[in-house]
Amino acid sequence: MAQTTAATDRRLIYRPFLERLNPASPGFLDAQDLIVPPEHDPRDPDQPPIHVSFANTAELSRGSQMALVGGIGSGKTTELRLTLQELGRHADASNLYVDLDEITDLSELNPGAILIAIGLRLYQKITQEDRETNSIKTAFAKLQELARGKTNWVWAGEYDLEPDPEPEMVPVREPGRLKPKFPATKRAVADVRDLVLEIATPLLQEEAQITVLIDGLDRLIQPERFRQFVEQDLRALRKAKISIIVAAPILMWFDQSRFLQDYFDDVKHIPAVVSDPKKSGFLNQVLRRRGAADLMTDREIAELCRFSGGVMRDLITLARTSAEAAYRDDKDRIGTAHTASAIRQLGKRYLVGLGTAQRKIIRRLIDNEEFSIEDSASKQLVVNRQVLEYFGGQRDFFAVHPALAKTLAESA
Amino acid sequence: MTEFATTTAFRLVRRLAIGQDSTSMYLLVCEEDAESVVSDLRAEIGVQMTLPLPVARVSETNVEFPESGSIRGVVIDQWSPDLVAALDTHVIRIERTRAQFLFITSPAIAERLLVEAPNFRNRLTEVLQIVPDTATEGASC
Repeated sequence: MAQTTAATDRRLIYRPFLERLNPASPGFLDAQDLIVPPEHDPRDPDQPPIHVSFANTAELSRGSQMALVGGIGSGKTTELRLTLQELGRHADASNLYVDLDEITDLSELNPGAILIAIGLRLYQKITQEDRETNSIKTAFAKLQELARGKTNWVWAGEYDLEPDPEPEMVPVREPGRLKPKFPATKRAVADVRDLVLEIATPLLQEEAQITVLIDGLDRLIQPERFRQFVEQDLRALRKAKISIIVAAPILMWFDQSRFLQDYFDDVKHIPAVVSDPKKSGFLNQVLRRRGAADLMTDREIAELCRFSGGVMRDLITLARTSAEAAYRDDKDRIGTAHTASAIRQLGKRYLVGLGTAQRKIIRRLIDNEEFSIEDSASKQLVVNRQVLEYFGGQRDFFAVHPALAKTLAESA
Repeated sequence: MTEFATTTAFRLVRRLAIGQDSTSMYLLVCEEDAESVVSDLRAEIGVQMTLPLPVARVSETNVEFPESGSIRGVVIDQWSPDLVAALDTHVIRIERTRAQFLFITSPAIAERLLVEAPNFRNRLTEVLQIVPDTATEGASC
């Protein structure tokens, strides 16, 4: 019986910590003041933090388009939410946070879909009186139709599924001599843009500051697909006074064509955070804000920071796994053995899928600090966070994720 | 296949008990019959947490996951191209359910999934090898 009481009490020790580490909703993070906002741009300590810089640009240069790029788990969503908070400082601002994942199936996204999502959200921002306007009513109805699809009834004879076996004319395309920098906006996308602008008219007429923050496209692992949406949906809004901030996949940062830099007015990169506790206290603060100091000593906190590699989500995962290990061990505090076990588990997770080619690349990086993100194996290592990109001393550099490096060293 | 820390249904469910009210995703790798793992988990969740364990099987439902329950099981008993979209591209949808998800699969599928779904891999609470309760002595987690 005494054992049952002890177990129940221990649950009460660890549960609040786990909830602070991994809250069910992003709103909980804001409400509990659990986010540690960065103090400066991660690539330039003299510049304001990304969320402040983005908010300033959106406020001063309406219609600007900005991209936020970073690896998986680097904190892009947190940065977007901080930007949203910052933009809220002006009461007349219309800020839309669009998580595409909540709206549509990203794997089957069509050009124009993002515009539709923006249009439908903008409709929520205009007054009831404006919604009653005929042109807006019609535009909204058409957008809804485009979003959900519709059924047209036609005479069966008019709807011929078979192509004409002997067409009188066939198209022969003569390519243009001047290759456009970005492909032309598709007709269908331009039509959607017109509907969106119709809905936005009341806000634009009031000179309102409209900013749309788009999250989710960074999960498109194929950078080509991201590019398509930018070239169609975002470009269609280029001349409207609607600012856009979009999360982009990490591979776009290393794209040879420098598409991000060419297309966007401002591009911010979130590299992995310096994870050496002697050089930066940021990760330490993140853990302390979530209550780590109540459950572990400075030494364990420092270990978790170091082996997270500066990947925010890995830091959270390590803290969580350590807490679970301590609970499993019937301990009231997290000890070195628990953090070590969590680090080992994370390292093993990164070990999965490493073939001979990848191991060679990793070995070269560990031994000679040589790494080139040109070939697909190297790119995959960066996307999967087995190799992390850092910025320090005015240069980008790569390093093997420390948890993986430790596991590899132990298994050698 | 990488040797992950081993656990049993009993030990895993003890951990699930402290994680209630926060989302988690465990990838459980089993060498043996997934159905016996499901049955062990169901029994332990029933006893320790007095909760049901709704389970979906990819071979039967493709990638339709259980829509209710604070703990939900998904047996990935065959590879499906839709898995990557459901688990990787849309991993946020799973996170927002506030549920604890147990993905039970074979070593081969687990490896493929971890390689092809980096967003999923990064968001997993943990990857564990699950063994029958009779093999408790070998369990480390």
